[in-house]
Amino acid sequence: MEVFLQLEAILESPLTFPTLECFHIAGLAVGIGTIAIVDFRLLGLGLRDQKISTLAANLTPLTLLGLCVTFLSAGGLFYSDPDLYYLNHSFQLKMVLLLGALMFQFMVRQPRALDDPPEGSARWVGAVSLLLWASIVFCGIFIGFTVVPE
Amino acid sequence: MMAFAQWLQATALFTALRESWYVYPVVLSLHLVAIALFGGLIVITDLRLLGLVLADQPIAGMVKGLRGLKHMGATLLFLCGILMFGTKAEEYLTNPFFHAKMGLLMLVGVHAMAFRGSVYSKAAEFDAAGKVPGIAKVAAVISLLLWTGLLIAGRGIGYVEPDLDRIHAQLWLR
Repeated sequence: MEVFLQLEAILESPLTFPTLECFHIAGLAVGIGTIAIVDFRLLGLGLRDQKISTLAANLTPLTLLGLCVTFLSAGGLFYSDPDLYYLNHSFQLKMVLLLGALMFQFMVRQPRALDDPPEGSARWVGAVSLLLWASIVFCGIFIGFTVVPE
Repeated sequence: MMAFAQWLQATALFTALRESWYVYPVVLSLHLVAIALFGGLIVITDLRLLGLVLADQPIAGMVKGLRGLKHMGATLLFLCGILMFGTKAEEYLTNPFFHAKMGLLMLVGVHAMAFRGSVYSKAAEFDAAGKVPGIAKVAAVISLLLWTGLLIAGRGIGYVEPDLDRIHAQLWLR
């Protein structure tokens, strides 16, 4: 009981929401940012001296760490006012795209990247991945600008 | 400065941008997309200098390879930033978090100049020596701190509502 009261107090502090937002953004900069480095490499941009598989394998821990921070902070943001989110069309679209992006990342992109595809042959994989993650960020911002139906 | 801000946001371009319901969120989204897709480049460079990621890859190649993408990301961030500033220039100009963000941005410039000679142009020497000197690690930690500060200041901007009536009254009295 004591614990719940303390949790309640933390959630009600005016600093909690913006702090969680900062963690959310820092987490996505690391999580999506490291995914993007491999995607750019698949497109033939950025770290061209490194093998695709080397990058994909070495950046995975940072990707997972970043995504964990993003998801954990997202849980807190959602919990602050669930009604504001799950009825919000931008949020609903974001969740669908997120599911798609995660499936694409772990079922298509990562296996392809670890397989060292011939230079330029997997450009579409990098492009699809970048577009999916960018669209998720877009939906995230639009949550705040979308009117929730009564 | 305030007069300039008011003139800027009254121009036809920024008035049109302000009056559209979707332009501001689209530009803000692009600003965040730039953070998501290009922010990792800075994190990776700094963590590499600290030896925490891709430690067996040469630093010089990474600094050189990421330069183009970093410029792309910075350009996108700046363009979005200028568009957002222009639509609500006088609000930004009176926002303490905006002041903090601009101060930190200047420090990022100072950081780049201060460590260019001793760190970023010497990456090949670090690779040859097989060891990263302390000053490079200091540069990496400061860089991470500055960008974290920029993120916090940037998020803070949205939480301050400037008292425009008071600002306008002061301008008018002058």
